[in-house]
Amino acid sequence: MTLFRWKYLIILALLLFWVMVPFDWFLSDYTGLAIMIGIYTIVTVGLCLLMGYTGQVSLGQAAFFGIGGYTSAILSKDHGIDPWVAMLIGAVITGLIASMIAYPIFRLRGNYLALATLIVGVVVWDFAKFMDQYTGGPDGMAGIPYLSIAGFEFDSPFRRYFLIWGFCLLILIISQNIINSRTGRALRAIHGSETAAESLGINVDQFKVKIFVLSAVYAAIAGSLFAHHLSFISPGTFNILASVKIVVMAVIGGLASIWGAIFGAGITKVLSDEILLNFGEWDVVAYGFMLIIIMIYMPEGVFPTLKSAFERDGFLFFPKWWLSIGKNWFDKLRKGYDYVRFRHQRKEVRP
Amino acid sequence: MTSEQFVQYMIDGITTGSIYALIALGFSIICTVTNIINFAQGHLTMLGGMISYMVIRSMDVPTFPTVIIAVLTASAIGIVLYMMLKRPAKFAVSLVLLAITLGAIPLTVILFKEIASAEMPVVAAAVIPILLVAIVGAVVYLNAIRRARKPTTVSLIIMTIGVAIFLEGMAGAVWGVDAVRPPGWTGKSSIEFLGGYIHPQALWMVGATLVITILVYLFFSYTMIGKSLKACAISPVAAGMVGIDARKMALIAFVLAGIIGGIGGAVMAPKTLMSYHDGFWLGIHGFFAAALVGFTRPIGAVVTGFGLGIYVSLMVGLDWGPFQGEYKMSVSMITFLLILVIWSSRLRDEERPS
Amino acid sequence: MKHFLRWTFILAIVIALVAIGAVACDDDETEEPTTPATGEPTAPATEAPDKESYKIGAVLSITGPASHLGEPEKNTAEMMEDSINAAGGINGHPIEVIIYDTETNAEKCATMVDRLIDQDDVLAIVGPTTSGNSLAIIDRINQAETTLISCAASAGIVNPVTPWVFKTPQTDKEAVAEIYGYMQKQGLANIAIITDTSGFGAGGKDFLLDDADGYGITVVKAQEFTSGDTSMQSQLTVIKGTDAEAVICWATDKESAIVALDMETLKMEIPLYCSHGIANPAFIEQAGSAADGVVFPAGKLLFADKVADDDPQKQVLVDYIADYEAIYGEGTVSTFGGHLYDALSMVVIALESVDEGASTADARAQVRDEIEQITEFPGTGGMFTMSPENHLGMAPGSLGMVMIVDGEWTLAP
Repeated sequence: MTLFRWKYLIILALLLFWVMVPFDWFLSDYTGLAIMIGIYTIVTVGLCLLMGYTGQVSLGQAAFFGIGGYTSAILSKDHGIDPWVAMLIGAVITGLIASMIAYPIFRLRGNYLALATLIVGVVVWDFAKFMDQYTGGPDGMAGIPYLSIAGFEFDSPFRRYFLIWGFCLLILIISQNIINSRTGRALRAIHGSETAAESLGINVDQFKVKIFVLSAVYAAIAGSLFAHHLSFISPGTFNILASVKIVVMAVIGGLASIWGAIFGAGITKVLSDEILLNFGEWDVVAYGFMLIIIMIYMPEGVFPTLKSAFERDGFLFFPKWWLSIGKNWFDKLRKGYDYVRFRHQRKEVRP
Repeated sequence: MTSEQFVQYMIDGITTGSIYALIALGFSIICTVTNIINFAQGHLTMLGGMISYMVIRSMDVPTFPTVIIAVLTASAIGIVLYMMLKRPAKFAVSLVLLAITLGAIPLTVILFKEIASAEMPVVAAAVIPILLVAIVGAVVYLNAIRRARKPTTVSLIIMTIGVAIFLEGMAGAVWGVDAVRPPGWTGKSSIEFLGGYIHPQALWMVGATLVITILVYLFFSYTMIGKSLKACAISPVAAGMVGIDARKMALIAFVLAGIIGGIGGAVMAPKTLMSYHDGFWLGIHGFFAAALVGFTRPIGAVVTGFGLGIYVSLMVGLDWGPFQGEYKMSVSMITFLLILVIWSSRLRDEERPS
Repeated sequence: MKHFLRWTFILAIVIALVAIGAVACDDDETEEPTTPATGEPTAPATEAPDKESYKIGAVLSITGPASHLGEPEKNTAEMMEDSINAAGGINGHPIEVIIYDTETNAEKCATMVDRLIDQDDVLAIVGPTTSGNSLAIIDRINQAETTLISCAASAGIVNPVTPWVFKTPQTDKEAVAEIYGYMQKQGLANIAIITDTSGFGAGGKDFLLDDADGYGITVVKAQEFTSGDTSMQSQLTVIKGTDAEAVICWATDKESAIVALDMETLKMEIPLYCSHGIANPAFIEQAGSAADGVVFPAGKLLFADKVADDDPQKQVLVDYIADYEAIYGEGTVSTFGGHLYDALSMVVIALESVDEGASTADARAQVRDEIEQITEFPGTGGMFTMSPENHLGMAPGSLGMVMIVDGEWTLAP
C-alpha cells in the first residue's frame, strides 16, 4: 500500500524536476543535453522492445534515424513541405523499408537481423554521402526549418525541450500501452518461449516484423526531431558507430522495459557529454571502462536492477538502507565495535 | 580489363581478403564456443599492429597519471553500484583484478620501452605482439567476462564493446593519433607475378592466414581440446556432463582469438598502415564475413572473408554502373545478402533448433 | 494528520533533492576553472592576479578520424595559453582556453559549442577542425552571437558570409588552383584523380573536376576509396590502365601514404600529387621511400627557412616553429597547428581592445567587430585582411608547392 503510493510520488517528483530543467533559475545550461537525451530515448525505446522481445540485435537503428532525418530535412527545406508532414512521410518511408527488410530476414533462423540491419546502416550512410545533390554530401546539410504549430515556432531550445519531451512521453505511453495490450501479451509469450507461443497459434514471425517496424518508425521520428532541432544533419551522425552506441544505450537502460530507455540514453549521454569531459584525452578509455563496470554489476540493465531492488525493499530502499548504515555507525560509536559485531548473535540467543 | 589487370585485382583482393578472413576467424571461434559476438576483435588486430610498431621502433611513451585518476573514479562508481546492489562478496576481488588489467597495459608498455631500446630482430617483432595480445585476451576474459554476475549474452556483448572502446582510447593515448607503419618483414621491392605486382608483405599476410586456418581446422578436428571446444559449441550442458569445463574452454577460445588478432595486426601493418581508430572498421568487415555464415563456421568465415576481398577488388576494376569504388561497401554487402537469402532455404533447415 | 505529516515529509525530501541538484550544479560551475582540459594548472598571473581571465573556447577533433589534425591544434592552443599567461596575459587578464573534443562528430560538436556558449561563457570560439563540423554549427553560432574562427578548409564556411563566422586556412579551391597551375607549368595534360569519400575528399574532388578545364587539363579517371581502406591497389590499377600522366590524391596523410606505397608496389612511374592534407611529418614517416617525389601545396610554414627575409610572415613562421618544436619535439610542426595559431592570435588581438568590465554579450560583439577590422595581420597561413565582405581575408600567394626529397620538405622546382 505504502509502496504503491511512494511509487507514484517519486514519479511525480521526477516529473516535476524534469519540467523545471530548462528554466533559467534551474538547470537551463543543460537544456541541450536534456533534449538530446529525449531524442535518443525515443530511438532506444524501440530498440529495447525489439531486443527485449525478439532477442535480435539491430545494428541499423541509426540508419533509420538517418532516413527519417534526411527525408524530413530534404522535404521541408528543399521542397517547402510542412515539417510535420515531412516528418510523417519520413516515418512512413522508414516503416516501409523496415518491413521490406524484415519479411525475408525473420524467415531465417539465427542472428541474421544484425547482419541485414548492418547492411542497411552502410547503405544509408553511403547514400547520404554520395547523393550530394539531395543530401549535401559528407559535410551534411544545414538550414533545416524548425517545427512550428500554427505560427508558434519552436525556435529556442526552451521551446524545443518541451516539444521533444512531449513527443518522448507520448511515445513512452504508447509503448507502455502496446506492452499491456494483446500484442504485448503475445510478445511476452514469444519472449518466454517461441515454440510454446507458436503452438498457441501466435504468428511469431508476424509479431517480430511488427515490433521491428515499430522500432524503425520510432527511430525515424527521433531522426526528424533531431534534424529539426539542430537544423543540421550529416552522415556522420548515423554511421555504424552511432548504431552501436544506441545498442549500448538500450542494454544499459535495460531490455524489454520501456522506462529503462530514459536511463540508458541519459546515462550514456551524461557520461560522454558531461562527466567524462574532465578526463581530457582519456575520456574514451574511461567510457569503455564504465561500460564494462556497469555491465558487470548490472547485466540486466540499470532500470530492471533498480526496479527489482525497489520491489524487494520498497521505496524506502534508499532511506532505510542509508539509515541502517547510519544506525550501524551510531551503534558502533555508542556501544563499541564488539557489540555491533555480535549483535545478531545476541539477538538470536536472547529468546 | 586486360589479363594483367585481372591478375592485379585478384592479388589485391586476396591480400585484403586475408585480413577480413583472419578477423572473421576470430569472431567465429569465440562465437562458436561462447555464443558471444566479440566486438573487440578488430581492436585486438589493431593492437597487434600497434604493438609490433612499438617493439620495432621503441617510441617515447607518455606517463600515465590520468589513467590512475580514471581507475580511481571508476572504482568510486563501482563502489556506489556495489552499495546499491549489496553484493559485497565478489566486489573487492573484481575491482582489484580490473585494476590489475588496467595497470597491465601501461606496465607492459613501460617495460617494453626499457627492453626495446635496442634493435629487435624480426622474429621478436612478430612473436612479442602475439604473446602480448594473447595475454590481453586472457586478462579480458578472466576479469571482465568471467567475473560477470549472472551475465546475459547481450550484456557480455556490450562488455566487449566496452573493451573495444577502452582499447581504442588506450591506443590513441599511448601511441598517438598518427598512423604508423612498421618496416616490412622481408624484401623491399615488389615481386612480379603473371604481369601483376605483389607487395612482399602480402605474401606473409596470405601465407599466415592460410597456415592459421589449416592449424585451426586441424586443432578443432584432431586434438582433444579442439574436440572439447566443439562439444561446448554444440551443447554446453552435455559437454559439462562429460566433464568438460566450459569456462576453461571459453578461456581457450578467447586466447585463440587474441592470438589470431595479434598475428593479423602484426602481419598487415607494414603494408596497410595502422592507426588507433582502424579497429572498428576492420571489425565490421570481419563481423560481416563471419555473420554471413552464421558465426558458427570458422572455415566458412575464412572463405567469405577472402570472397569479400576479391569481390570488392573486382568491383573496383569493373568500374561500371553501381560497381564502382565509391559504392563498393554497400554493393558488396547487398550482393552477399542476396546470395544468403537465395541460399536461405538450406540455411533454414540447418539452423532450425532441434 | 498522519497523512499530512507524510506529505510534508515527502515535500521536504523533494525540495531537498532539488536544492542539492541546484547546489551541485553551482559547484560544477565554480569548479570548472580548476579543471581545464590542459591538465596543467595555468601559471598564476604574476602581474594582475585580481583580474578575471578571458575565456576562449576551442572545439577540436582530438579523437576520431581527423584526430591527427586536431592533435597539433590542441598542442598549439595549450602552448599559446601558457606563453600568453607567462607574458602577463592580455591587458593583465590571463586567458583560459577551454578545449573540448568533438570526436569529429557534428552532433557532439554542436553540443560542445552550446556548452561553451551557455555554460562556460566564452568570448570567442576557435575550431572546429573539420569542414563538416564547422558547417554544422554556423547557424547556432550566429544565433548565439559569439565569434567563431574555423580551422577547416571548406569555402562554404565563409561563403556566403555570415556575421559571426571567420576562418583561417586556405580554401580547397586555392589549393586546387595551385596544383593545376604547377601542373600546367610542367606541361601535364591528362591526369587521374583518386579521392577519399569523406567531406575533405569529396570537396576536393568537386573542385578538381570543375576547375580542370581552365588549365587545359583533362581528368581521364576519377577513383574513390573510403577512409579506413587498407589497400588502394585496385583503384590504382584502373588508373594505370589509362593514359594519365599524373595522379592527384585528395586525402589526409594515412590514405595518401597508402596510395604512395601502392604506387611504388605497382611500379607506377607517373608523379603523385597530393592535397595540403598531408602537410604533416607523419606522412613522410608512413610512406617512407615512397614519399620521395610527392608534390603538394602547402602554406609557408613547411618551408619557413626558404622564405625571403623581407617577407612579413617570416618572423611569425620562424617563431612558431621554434616554440612548437621546443615543446613537442623536433620535426613535429604541421600546418594544421598553424591554422589554430592564426585563429587564436586574431582572437587575442581582438581581446586587447575589449573594454574593461564589458558584459559577456558586449565583449563578444567587440571581439567580432575587432576581428572584422584586422588588416595586414601576418599569420602562419598568410597575410590576413578581414572585411565585412571577406571573412577569410587571406591574401593570394599564400601557398607554395612543396616536394618531398629524401624525406625532407623542399620547394618544388
